[in-house]
Amino acid sequence: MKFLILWLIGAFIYFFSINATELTFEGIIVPLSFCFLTILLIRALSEKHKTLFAYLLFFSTGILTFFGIIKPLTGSVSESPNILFFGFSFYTLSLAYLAKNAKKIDFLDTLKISNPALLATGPIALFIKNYRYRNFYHRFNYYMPFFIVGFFFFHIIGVPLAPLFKFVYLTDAVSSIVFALIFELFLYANFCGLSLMLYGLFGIIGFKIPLNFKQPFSSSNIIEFWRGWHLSLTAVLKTMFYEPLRKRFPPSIALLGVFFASAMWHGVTMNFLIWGFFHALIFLVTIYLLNRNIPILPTFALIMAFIVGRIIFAEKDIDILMEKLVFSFQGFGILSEIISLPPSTKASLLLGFGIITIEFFFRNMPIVKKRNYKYLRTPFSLVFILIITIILINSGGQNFAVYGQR
Amino acid sequence: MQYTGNVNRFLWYFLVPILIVFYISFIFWSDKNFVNKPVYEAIKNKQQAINSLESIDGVILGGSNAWWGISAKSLSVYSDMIWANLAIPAEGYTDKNYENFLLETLSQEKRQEVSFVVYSAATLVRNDFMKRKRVSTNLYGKNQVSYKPQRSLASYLKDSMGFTGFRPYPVENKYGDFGFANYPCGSFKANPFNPREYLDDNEISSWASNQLERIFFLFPNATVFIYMPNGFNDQILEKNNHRRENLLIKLQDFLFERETNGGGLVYLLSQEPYRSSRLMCADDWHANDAGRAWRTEELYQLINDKLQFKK
Repeated sequence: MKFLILWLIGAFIYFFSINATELTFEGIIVPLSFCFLTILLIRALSEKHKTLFAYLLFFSTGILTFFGIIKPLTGSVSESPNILFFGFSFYTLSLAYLAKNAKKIDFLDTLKISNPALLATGPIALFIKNYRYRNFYHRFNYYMPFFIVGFFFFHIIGVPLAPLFKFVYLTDAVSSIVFALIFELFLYANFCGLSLMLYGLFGIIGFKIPLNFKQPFSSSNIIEFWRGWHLSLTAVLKTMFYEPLRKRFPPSIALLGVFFASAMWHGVTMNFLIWGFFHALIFLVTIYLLNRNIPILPTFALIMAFIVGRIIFAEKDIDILMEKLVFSFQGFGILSEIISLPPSTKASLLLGFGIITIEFFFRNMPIVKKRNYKYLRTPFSLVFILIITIILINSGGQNFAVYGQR
Repeated sequence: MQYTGNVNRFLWYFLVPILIVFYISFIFWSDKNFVNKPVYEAIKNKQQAINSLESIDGVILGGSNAWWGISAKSLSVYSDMIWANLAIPAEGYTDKNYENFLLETLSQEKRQEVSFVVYSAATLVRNDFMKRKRVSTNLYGKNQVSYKPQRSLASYLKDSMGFTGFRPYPVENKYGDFGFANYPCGSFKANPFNPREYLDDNEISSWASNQLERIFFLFPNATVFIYMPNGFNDQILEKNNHRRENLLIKLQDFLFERETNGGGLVYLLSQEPYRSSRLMCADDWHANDAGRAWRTEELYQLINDKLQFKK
């Protein structure tokens, strides 16, 4: 009953937040029916077939992007051309994870996996646990700051940056790098913001869901970075690819497998294949450098992964991508464009890069080190965040979940 | 969160709730007091002007690119017919709003008399087809009440300090043209870092079907021209010209297939880029008076090439 109520709350959030004429009732009923029928099937399968089916579920998103039925993830608005596939990439991953990992799959999982709020924004519903021991007062005090921080990330930092996606068409070196940095910030503010909002909201209601981000920029190398970025996907990849591959192959092959699978989930396109290979390469180089206690270079490799990785991630046109990766210098014209941006966008950039700077340079301070946004959840920080939010927030811009909807 | 310090307690239990209450109050205050005056007045003035036309032979549809950039009066002179410029800011923000505006502005009789529709579609060069479906803004630019205020507190503060950015959009004549005489255009600087986003390939057919269904519902007896607008030509846009050409080819294919299937003839026109920054009104999409004269003449020639009017 509790999970049914939570599902209904999720449906309410979905309709309230998406607020679009094209998103209709099918958007919540199809995932519910699909999850129910799939769980029915999984329960009937033998252990061996269950594993095979789990991998089929995992790659189903990639297969559908290959046939154009759903869109590859680009970072810009990622709504599915077909409402029947709303949330498909998320609930198939939850189902795959359960089929591969869980000893027992319950029909109750249907309501958890197909919760419309989670399908609209992420994280992947690997678990939803009901709190039985904490009263509302304690829950509110603990989780409300997460919600406020998430709201600030999403609306004040993320939303005003969406118009800057037009820079994706620029191919000169400086513009490409500037775009990559802005895009990285946007993805973080959007996805992390929504994840924190739901984490806070569900926590206040009395349910614990995965904390999808843990200050990813409090990292000195790419290994630490991936311990803080999109953790629900990382958990699926670890269970379904890294651990089985590691039993038979060396770490390098296991890592290539993980990043290949991750790339396929984002979309079966050449740029994601290159992106997966590139990140695996940086990961392996970092392991090599760390094993030999070579300082600084792992951090340099991380910055390379941010910049080059995001250029590859965002550009599905291979000809244009290759043009960008030549890094031809054509001046600093993009900087004058940045200077002429509206004040709210400049404020977003300043606040966003300010937060990343704190996460990175103060990562060894006790309040930042725990990687749970504690430095933003102190009352002083919350008052500051609320004042900035009240001053800057307006009804303009686009509210969309960059990882959700498809 | 077990905060022990007195300052922390004060902030968390007193100041944070006050800020949240203030924020909620501000949302309602903003909703009650919000009027997008320039857009509201422009639409009302335009409706009033066009109502004075007894009959209309041709209409110009679209957003600000068409309102700034095409003169219905000049087209009327060139073609010896009566044209009306029904383009409004942001094309009414949603297709539904725009349809309602057209229904409200022109009676059924007048709509049935319309023989030509030129639809200058910014969506083709902005890729906002899906975005327009998501917004919940009314015809005058006011959003539905939500958890966000209509405008930011910063913008209200800016207004109160006299830094208001609002300028009225004047209507020049009974044809609904933009009134440049009462509108300071300001200088225009070419911006090579403002590339265009063309309509996605996989959205072409649904966009075109939607628009044509709407246009033929409103103007059942009209010959329709879909007119892809253009801006000021600069180095980056030259580089992206293949995107524009690709879109034109695919759209033309769709229209041809539609015609083959008995859907009726629809012409596709493409505007040449503005040749000089001196034709622009502070924006890559907005012509000034001279730019409008140039574009209108070009449009007339494009239509004439198809229909063989006489100038």
